[in-house]
Amino acid sequence: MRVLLTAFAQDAHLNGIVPLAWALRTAGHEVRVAGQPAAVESITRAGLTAVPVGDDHRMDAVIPTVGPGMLMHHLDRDYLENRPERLSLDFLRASNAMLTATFYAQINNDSMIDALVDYARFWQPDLVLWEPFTFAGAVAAKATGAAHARLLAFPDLFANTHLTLRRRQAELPAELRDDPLEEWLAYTLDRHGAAFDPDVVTGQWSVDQMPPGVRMELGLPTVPTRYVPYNGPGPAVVPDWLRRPPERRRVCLTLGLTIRDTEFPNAVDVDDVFASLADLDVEVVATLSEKELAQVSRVPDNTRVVDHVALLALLPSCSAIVHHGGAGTWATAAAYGVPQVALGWMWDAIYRAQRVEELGAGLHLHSEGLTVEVLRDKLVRVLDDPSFTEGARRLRLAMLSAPSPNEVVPTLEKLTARHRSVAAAR
Amino acid sequence: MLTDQTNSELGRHLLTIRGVQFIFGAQGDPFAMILRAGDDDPLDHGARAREQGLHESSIGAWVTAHRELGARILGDERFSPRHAEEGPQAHPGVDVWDNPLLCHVVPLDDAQLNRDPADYRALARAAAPLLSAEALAARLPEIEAAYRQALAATGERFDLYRDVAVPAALRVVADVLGLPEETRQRLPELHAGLATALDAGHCPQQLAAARALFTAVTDLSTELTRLVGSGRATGLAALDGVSPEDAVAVGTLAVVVGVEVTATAVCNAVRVLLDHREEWERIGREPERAGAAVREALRLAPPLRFESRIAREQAEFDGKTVEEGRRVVVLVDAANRDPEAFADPDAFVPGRADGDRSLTLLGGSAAPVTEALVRLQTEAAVRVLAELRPGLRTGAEVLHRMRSAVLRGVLRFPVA
Repeated sequence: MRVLLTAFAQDAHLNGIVPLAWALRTAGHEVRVAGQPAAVESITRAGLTAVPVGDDHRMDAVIPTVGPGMLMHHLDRDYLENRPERLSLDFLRASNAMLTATFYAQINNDSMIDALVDYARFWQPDLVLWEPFTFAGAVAAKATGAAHARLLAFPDLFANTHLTLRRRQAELPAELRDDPLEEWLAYTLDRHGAAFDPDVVTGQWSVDQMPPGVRMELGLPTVPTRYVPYNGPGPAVVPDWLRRPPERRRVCLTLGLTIRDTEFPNAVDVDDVFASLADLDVEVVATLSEKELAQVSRVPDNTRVVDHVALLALLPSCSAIVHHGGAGTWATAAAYGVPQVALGWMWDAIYRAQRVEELGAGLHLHSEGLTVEVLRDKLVRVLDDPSFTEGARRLRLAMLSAPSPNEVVPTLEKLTARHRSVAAAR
Repeated sequence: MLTDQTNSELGRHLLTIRGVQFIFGAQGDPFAMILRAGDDDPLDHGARAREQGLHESSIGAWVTAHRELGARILGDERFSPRHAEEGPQAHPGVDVWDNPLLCHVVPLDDAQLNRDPADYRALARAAAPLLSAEALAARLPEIEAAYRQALAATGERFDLYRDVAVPAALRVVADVLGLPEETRQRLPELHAGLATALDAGHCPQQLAAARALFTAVTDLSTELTRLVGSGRATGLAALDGVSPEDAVAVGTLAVVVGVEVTATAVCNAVRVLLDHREEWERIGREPERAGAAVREALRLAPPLRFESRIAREQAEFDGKTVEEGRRVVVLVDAANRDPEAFADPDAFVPGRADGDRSLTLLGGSAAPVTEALVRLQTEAAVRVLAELRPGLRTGAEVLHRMRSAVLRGVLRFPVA
């Protein structure tokens, strides 16, 4: 097969597609990974073949304007909410309008979509696999007749929210149904001679790397797949100090990659975090960039600060992790059975953190509730109460029980043959 | 052609401005919340705006909800619906992230909604034989008959907006303008496209609605141009000493503003009056009460909930400088309940001593042309309905058109 993968240019969202891209490659398929020019270096550092498409998106320039409003609207919402006053129709409409206008349509800029369609017309992929915000992939598939699926590396709550909006609006007269996401996709598809289909939002199926208990069951066709950590284009090098066991229990502290190259706020004060760790009998490894470190007034004696270390090399040696709630960090910790104190203030970060608490694999701490005392208390509990280690081990086993990327390739071959239009079949 | 933008270009433009309204609304900006046009009560946002005094909205406008300041702005011709620059009022392709010029969302110049105040006064003089209060008063029996006939065609349960207000207003405007039969036949379809006109310049419509509006405006201009050139001896074609362009402008305003604003005013007035049944029943017995009752109802529920102008000169208000070229918004619905201007502002008091302080403009800046057409019809509708249906009750919930931040236009108004 020819498989075209695509993710908008942001490492955190590219990382989740890399292991399956390699599984397809080593199964003998032709694989290309398309993204804006800014994504090319990260794609090629992952050893994959890059196709730069269109101009770079402007999301980073837009974030200072839209970030605060986006944050205030979505603050503290768990999308499994059943209280209609919290996820009212007005709330869902506002969320959809904001996300479509200021996020989806920004990271899928027109030149990127058009160039991706052009490339798909030239290269004729059998299957387009797209990162779940990179709707350009679905457009390219519809324009060429390729099969297409989403590749999820985080819980599917954005599709869930959109489907909830559509369900609620279905009860209203047609004149009151307002779905900017559908409208944007409809005129974008129309530009390329294709028509809107609900699967442009959800994929013809989804490859979902979340384990049971975390994966959202939306009634959509799903191929459960094991999450295999890939921590991004930063050099994955095992340093000397990671070649012997830690002398004390090791705690990882990271605020993730995305904050390093965007303005998106994590709302975490590192000084507070350090103060809560300083007196504990542990060895802290903090991954902080120069920019993050500049905000810190004092690094505690028990803390080693490194600019970068691949989490897949570090976490197997850790007894606990304190992190910002991001998708890759969460999933890597889960995959290695490390108990977590997961911060986070919106969207999937809250969802993931709450699930990890429910599964007994760690504790959630809302970023706004972060104080020295509360964080220390939660971390001590996670370190000292063996039930968290046991819960994290169960979560790791749940993740390992899913078929590996290599094992799902034959399923993808079958699904592609079923969904690819005749014209695209060679 | 109102725009040569492709669907993708226009769609992205509308989508982005809409997104900005939601983003700034989430940060608590009252005018942005009003522009969202959600299920929440716009008066709550207006009250918050009033607490802030004259203030700059993140949407890129100075906003006031005070009656006195609002009256000064709306009575000052240096505040115009349009910028000083000639040509269509639209800002396509403006990067709203860097420079939020969020007025004139789509070009509505052919709908005659972006003219200078002096133009509207001149058009009102030109239109006087058709649209002045005197001219329309002379046609009152005919206007009332339109509402009686529309009502007679309904059953026990009907929709006030769809079955009475719109068909009667269409018929009145067709009669007043002397539209030929083929244009009359097309009028309901044209109105369906035009219904969003008052909203579309401020609150981005869905792409299909924006396209339908453009098509309807173009088609209406074509029909009216043909009529004005027809040499007919009555109505719009017979306006004396008026240029063909001005005659088309008058006809356009009568249809674009005269129908949807009238229908909105009728629904708003009936809704307020049905909440005050004793007054409704008294109007049925004493129809001369309708004038004061309608004026008071439209103070509480103005058909245009806010007015937007461009400062054509720098102005100072409350020690704040409104620079030339900036947008100024008067929240009429909130200003009409300003406790500094009205005694017991939320109370419905027909004939109240301070009733003449209401800022309600029946047609916005085009009110000099359309005011009498809207007001006389609203009064006639209320008289007819109160007389023939004294027991009228609202049925299921009134539904409002989406994205209707200016009119809060009616979609369904079930009554029985």
